[in-house]
Amino acid sequence: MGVMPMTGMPEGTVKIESEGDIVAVRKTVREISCECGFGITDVTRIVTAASELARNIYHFAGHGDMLWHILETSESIGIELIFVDQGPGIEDIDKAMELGYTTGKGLGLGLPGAKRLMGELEIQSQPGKGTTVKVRKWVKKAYEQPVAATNNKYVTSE
Amino acid sequence: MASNELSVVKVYDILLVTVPADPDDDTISLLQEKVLHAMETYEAKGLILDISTVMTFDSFFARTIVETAQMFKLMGGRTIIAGMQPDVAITATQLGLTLGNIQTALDVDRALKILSNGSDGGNAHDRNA
Amino acid sequence: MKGESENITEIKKIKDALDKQREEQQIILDSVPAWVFYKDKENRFIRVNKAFTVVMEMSKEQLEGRSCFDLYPKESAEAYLKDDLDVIASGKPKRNIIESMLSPKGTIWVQTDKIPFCNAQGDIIGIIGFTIDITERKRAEEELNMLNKQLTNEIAEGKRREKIIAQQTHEILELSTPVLQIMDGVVVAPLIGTIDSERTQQFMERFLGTIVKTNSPVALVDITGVPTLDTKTAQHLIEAVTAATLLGTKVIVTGVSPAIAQTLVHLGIDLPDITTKSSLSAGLKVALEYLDLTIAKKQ
Repeated sequence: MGVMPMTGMPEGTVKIESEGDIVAVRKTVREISCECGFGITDVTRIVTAASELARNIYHFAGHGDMLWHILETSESIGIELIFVDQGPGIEDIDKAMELGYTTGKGLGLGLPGAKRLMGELEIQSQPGKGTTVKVRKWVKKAYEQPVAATNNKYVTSE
Repeated sequence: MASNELSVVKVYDILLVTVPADPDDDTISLLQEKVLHAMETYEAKGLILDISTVMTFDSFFARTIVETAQMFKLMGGRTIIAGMQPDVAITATQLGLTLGNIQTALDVDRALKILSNGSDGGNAHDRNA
Repeated sequence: MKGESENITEIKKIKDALDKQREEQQIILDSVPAWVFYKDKENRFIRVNKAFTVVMEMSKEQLEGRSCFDLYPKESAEAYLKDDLDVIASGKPKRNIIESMLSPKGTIWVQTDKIPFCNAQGDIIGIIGFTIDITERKRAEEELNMLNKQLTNEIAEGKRREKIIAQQTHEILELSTPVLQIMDGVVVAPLIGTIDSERTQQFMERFLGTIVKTNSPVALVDITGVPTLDTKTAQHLIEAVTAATLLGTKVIVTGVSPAIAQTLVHLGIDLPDITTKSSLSAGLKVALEYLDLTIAKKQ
């Protein structure tokens, strides 16, 4: 890889203040992920994780921001998303990271899910002050990418 | 997404909704309303949600769909979700999202067959969970 | 009379002092290992030190007064003159001039500093040059460069090989998880070997992609070729089956041997809502039933 994505500036911010902004987050994240070279399934994973985390901000804090960076090492390209809000914060982070944890409204926090989808997740939260969730995903090198079924030599087409 | 892009189509006694590619939360909530309203009007026996163009399937979407199916069932109808894309299915599984007891079908054709015959050519009780 | 002899004594004293100064200067210049030379505006050596005479293999008398045009090839002499004139014109020193030089021993590499040379009135009348032989240093530099280049090439080659190996590994992995459509509506995926997380992701994409592409309502996953079914592998398998089921396909896991059945029960692993059969052919039978098909003999 070693090619910088075409957005020019490898970073940006999306404000999260309305339900429409959650879609904006998805659209932006989809664009950046595609440009990074993530395969279609990984793009879906990243967008879904971002959607969950953005929705967390909207539902629990009312408003916040998503900052994004493209990361580049000599070996790979990655995407980093940082979800920041000044909302009520999370009382028990460990519990929140347990699978199946909900806050009673029937809304799960989606944190363990986001971690599974992205690979790397860091969270800082102070009750009453706010929460910051950082997630990262790295592009697998080209030759590690799964080949799409359309290229599958073994599938007989009609 | 403009709300007038979301339409509920009646095919005989089955309701068909084509879900747009990246619906916002309002649209998804509106979908639920429209479906239930249509059910009230037409008393359909089945509902097909065509998600073949849906790109992101997060927990809110899943929850709302499941709720809608539950409500639809209470009103006397059966729901089938058709056309889920591979990457969406893989992500949803990894996220731990389930569709509960809602049946799924590869596409709208098969969904229609299931709702018409009570099966898609196989055993009636052979539903996938 | 008295005034004249006083003047003569004075003049002699000054001359002696100057001679002494010049002697001292020469001692210093000759003890410096670098080659020191004074030149005028016309490329001629006015004064040289001992080290210079040694390298040129000529005496002081032979060098002093000689022009560079006599001693060196025309191009070199012109280059030296140009540097001299730059220094004289600007009044500033020119340092670290690196060039090749023709000496009696052959071509050598030297590094020269040139500074303006002023007369008693402060006018610039030439340059003073200090030169050291850097042939050894240059050779060492070049050798280092060559080694660096070699190293870089070897690293690039190594990386290239790594990439090829990874590509081949990937291809081997792919070959060992084919997804085959065996008839209209039925897809079979024989899993062979150990199933790790990476492979599961790869497999799932192809498995589900094929199901959708071929529009197959039945999919069989055969695990006869999976040697061990530990908790992790079982989880990967369940993930793949769950994802495929979400599409609307009936998934049947075949090839559950007695050994695997035992392991699963002992590990307390439940395969919820997943149809399993001990053999691929049994699974195929279920598939046919599901599709309301049967295999009949030709009449």
